[in-house]
Amino acid sequence: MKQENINKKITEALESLDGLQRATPAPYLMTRVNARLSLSPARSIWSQVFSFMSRPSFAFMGLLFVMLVNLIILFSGGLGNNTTPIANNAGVYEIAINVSSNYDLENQEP
Amino acid sequence: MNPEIITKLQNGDQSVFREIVDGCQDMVYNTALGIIQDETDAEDITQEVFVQVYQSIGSFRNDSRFSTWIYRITVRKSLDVLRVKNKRQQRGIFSKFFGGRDDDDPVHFNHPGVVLDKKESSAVLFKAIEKLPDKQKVAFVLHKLEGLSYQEIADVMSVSLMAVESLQVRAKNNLKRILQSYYESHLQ
Repeated sequence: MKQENINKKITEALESLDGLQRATPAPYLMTRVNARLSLSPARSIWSQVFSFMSRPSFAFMGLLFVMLVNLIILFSGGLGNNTTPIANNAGVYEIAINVSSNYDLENQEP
Repeated sequence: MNPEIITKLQNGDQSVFREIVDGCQDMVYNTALGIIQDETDAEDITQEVFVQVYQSIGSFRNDSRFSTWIYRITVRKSLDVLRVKNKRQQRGIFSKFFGGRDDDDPVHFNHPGVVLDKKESSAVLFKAIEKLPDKQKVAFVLHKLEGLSYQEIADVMSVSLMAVESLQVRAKNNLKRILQSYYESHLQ
């Protein structure tokens, strides 16, 4: 008995939209649309470009590109720069030997 | 919709925009209302749709009907708003304590176009429609509230006719299941 009632209610619910009239928006919609249009400027080509550039996927690709360039520069030894890291400590000592200190100046042998 | 009006707007004739708004406002508002079930939000969506129509009229190609294009914009914007609302509700502080949305929320939406003696039943039905997956919801609303044929719905949703038929069947079965559950707990 209860299930019969439930079935009846379900059928009523499913048929409740029969004969439905369209809902209508509040009056003066055009005025409100024009107000929104005046607040939002038309999208120029530049705004579309910047809108595309602000996407997270674009930022991520840009970051990857910068990292790639950095890696290329790092492993190719820089932009035509032939300097090599200082590996020869002798050069350091050579510089140190030639440096004169106040002690040396004061104690120079005639 | 007179094709000349669309061509004039594409050519920059602003005065015909009013004719487009006047001619399409009911279908846009009614569709948005059916999906979002909130008059304030539906009003916002309606305005946004026409703003986009105005700004994007240049991209409208005559490969589909103008009404199809407007329905697509309306459905997309309505679903976007719905997703934001659902996320906000899920993040609500009470949801954290009570584990999500309360399925016993009272029916809260009355479509203004429903016949008077069917208001109560329709409110329960709209509550059930709210629980449908998005695609089923859209297909059901476009058919029942806007009276679109399955082919027209297929054009709007960019799916096949068979897909729309399947969506309608699944929507109806899901609605029956939801209504069964509702009336089991609410009928004495």
